[in-house]
Amino acid sequence: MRKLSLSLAMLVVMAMLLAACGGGAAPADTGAAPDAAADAPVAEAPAAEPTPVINNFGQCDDPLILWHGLTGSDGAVFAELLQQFSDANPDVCLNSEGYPWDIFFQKYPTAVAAGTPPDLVIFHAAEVNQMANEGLMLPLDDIMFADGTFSADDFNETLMAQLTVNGQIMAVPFDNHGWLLWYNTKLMEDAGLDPNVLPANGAEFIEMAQKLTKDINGKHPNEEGFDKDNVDVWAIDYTWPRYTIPTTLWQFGGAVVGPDGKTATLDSPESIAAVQFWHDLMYKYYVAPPAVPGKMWAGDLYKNNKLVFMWEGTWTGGFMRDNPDVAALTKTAFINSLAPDGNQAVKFDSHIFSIPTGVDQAGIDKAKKLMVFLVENGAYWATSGQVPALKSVQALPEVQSIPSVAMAAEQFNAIGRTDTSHKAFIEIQTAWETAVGNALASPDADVAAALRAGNEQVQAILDRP
Amino acid sequence: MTTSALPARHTSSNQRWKTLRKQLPNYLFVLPHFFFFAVFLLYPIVRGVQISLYDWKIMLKDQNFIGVANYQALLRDRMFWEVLGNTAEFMIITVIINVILALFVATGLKHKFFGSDFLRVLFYAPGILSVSVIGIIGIRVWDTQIGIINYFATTMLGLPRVSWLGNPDIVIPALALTTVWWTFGFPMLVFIAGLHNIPEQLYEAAKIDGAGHFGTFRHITLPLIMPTMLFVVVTQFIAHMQVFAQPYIITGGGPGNASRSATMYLYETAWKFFRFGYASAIAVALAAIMIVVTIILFSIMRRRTEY
Repeated sequence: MRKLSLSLAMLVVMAMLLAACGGGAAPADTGAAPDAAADAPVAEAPAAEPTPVINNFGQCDDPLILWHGLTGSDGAVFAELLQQFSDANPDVCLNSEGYPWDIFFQKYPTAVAAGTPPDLVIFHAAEVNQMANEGLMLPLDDIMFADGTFSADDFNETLMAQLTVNGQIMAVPFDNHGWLLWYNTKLMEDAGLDPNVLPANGAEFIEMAQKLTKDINGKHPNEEGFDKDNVDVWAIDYTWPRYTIPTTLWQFGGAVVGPDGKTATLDSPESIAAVQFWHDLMYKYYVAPPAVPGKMWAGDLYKNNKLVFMWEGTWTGGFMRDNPDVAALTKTAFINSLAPDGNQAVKFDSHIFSIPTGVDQAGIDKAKKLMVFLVENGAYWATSGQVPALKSVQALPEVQSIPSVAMAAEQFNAIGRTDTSHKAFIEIQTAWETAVGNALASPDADVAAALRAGNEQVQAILDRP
Repeated sequence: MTTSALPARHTSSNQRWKTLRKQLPNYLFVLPHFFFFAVFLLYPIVRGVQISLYDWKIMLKDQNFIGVANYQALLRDRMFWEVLGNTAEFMIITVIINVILALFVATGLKHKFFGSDFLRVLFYAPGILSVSVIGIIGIRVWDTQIGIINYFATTMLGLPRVSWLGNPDIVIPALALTTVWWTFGFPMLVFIAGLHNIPEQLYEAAKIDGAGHFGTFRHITLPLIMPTMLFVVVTQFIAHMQVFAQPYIITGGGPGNASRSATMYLYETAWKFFRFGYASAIAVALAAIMIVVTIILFSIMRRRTEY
């Protein structure tokens, strides 16, 4: 009997383990960019981390070592590009190591401090000031710009300003990526709206959103008996705050940090109005799902025809490529303004190349060769949905033939803005993301109080010597 | 006097040497562990305390000594006190439920009956899962839309849908309950072992004297299980004050800061913000708090302990 009991117990344990490790849907997916998150967005549950993606091209004793975080859907296109480089440069062998961003940012400084850095790294433009101030990056003026390899004028001006720290250009942009409006034309037509007429300001958006949102009984939020717990189609979703919030703040005339770079403005009337607008969309107008951890990723809602307007990244181009039926119903446009006056702004960032401190001349030469190849072949990178960094490449017919990339390129050059550059950028970002998370956590949340608390924290960081 | 003192000292020295030679094998047995202990624990602790006194930049050769400035900043850091409060709340809920539940179940499983072995293994089983698996299960169980708890609450009981992980007031209890499910098997086993150490004659005597189940538990089991209780409470306190992975995986510390733990904040300070000096100060402060509370727990519970 004892043996039977133990056997049964072991069977149950095995079953539990299998159930825990087995298939089924992925855990609540994150709405984060597949490659862009240094950490999990506050409003959404983090997904299981991918294992490192390591690709070796050629065999030799002294390979070019590249570390990056391109482990998402665009990672596949990136691997193809590296293969093209390897084919074109048989004399250079290459080890490409892709890590989740949080692992990357542990390995990168420790490797540099230990004197064993990789030859080349890829991370984001927004983090350049911090990494440069930590002494982790070599200036690239002389290596990449002074000799005419690249001209700074051929890149986005705002972006180059962000990459310039203490008068030195610290990185070479690989792409421009950021928010773009993806919208479902069929759902608009079903609601009796013209897909070619988009809302021009916040008031117009709310009016349209109430027509688009409907519950499982077909009722709209402004109708009696609307069931907010069983919504069938949402007008919009509160996607990754890291892009959505700065975009909205700027549209309303607010910001996390003021133009002087020393004053926190998260609690300015404009900033509060911007975040309050999202709170109202969720809890007053019921046109956006509440921002709670574990909520369904916007892409899943969109794919199932349950979301009309999706503020998502340029990398969604890869998602559309994999879902042609969804792409057939989708159009892209500039991010719509939610501000009362229709002021337009959008946040964009960039994957940048950097040579870590401590890389020897041989490593610099190999890294330069790879950087030049990848930047000049940005048209291929555009097939992942990202906008090539060089304006001259953006203008190529093969790039312009990808509608979302052409739209995003035009948008970033016209109304794109980048995060405020600061040596404690990641800490500031964490502080405001937390404050906004508190502000949008529940219907009863006091938006102004949450932003005031966050503002205090950001100011304390800015005041540090 | 002088001539007689010298041989005495010589003899004493010889005696010490003999004793040392006798004890030498003991030291040799301890030496390998002490080496690794010193390299991987003692040195990092000392180094950590040292780094906490600097504005430590990973790439600087000459670090900037700032004395106790990191500790002064810590006292004024609202975030630190907030995450410490979250951690304390999580620890208190988890330890209390774990201890009560484990003792309760252990009392039931102390005696052999049909299926008791099966139940012991079953209750301990979650403890062998990795924290990543627990995190994924936690996400699925507590999910507002597709979680199993809301499914039963809404479809079977007709209750409203609850945002377990999105409500700042209930997110920590949700994480604590997940942790109890995961970890209560170990204290249960320890309590079972402790209960077996209580002489059976005492229960027989109590039964003859007409004591009921509750009276027996209160007057015999509880006093005599106190040494085990002390062990369980202290180890549970230390373990759950260091909670990291459950909130990191299940909620990311949110909503807002509502479930951010002290060790999460420590990790972020070091590896996201690169403020290694300040992170070391947080680590030292946490260690100090845990040492003080452990001493208090020892002194309170020892007074009530009967060996």
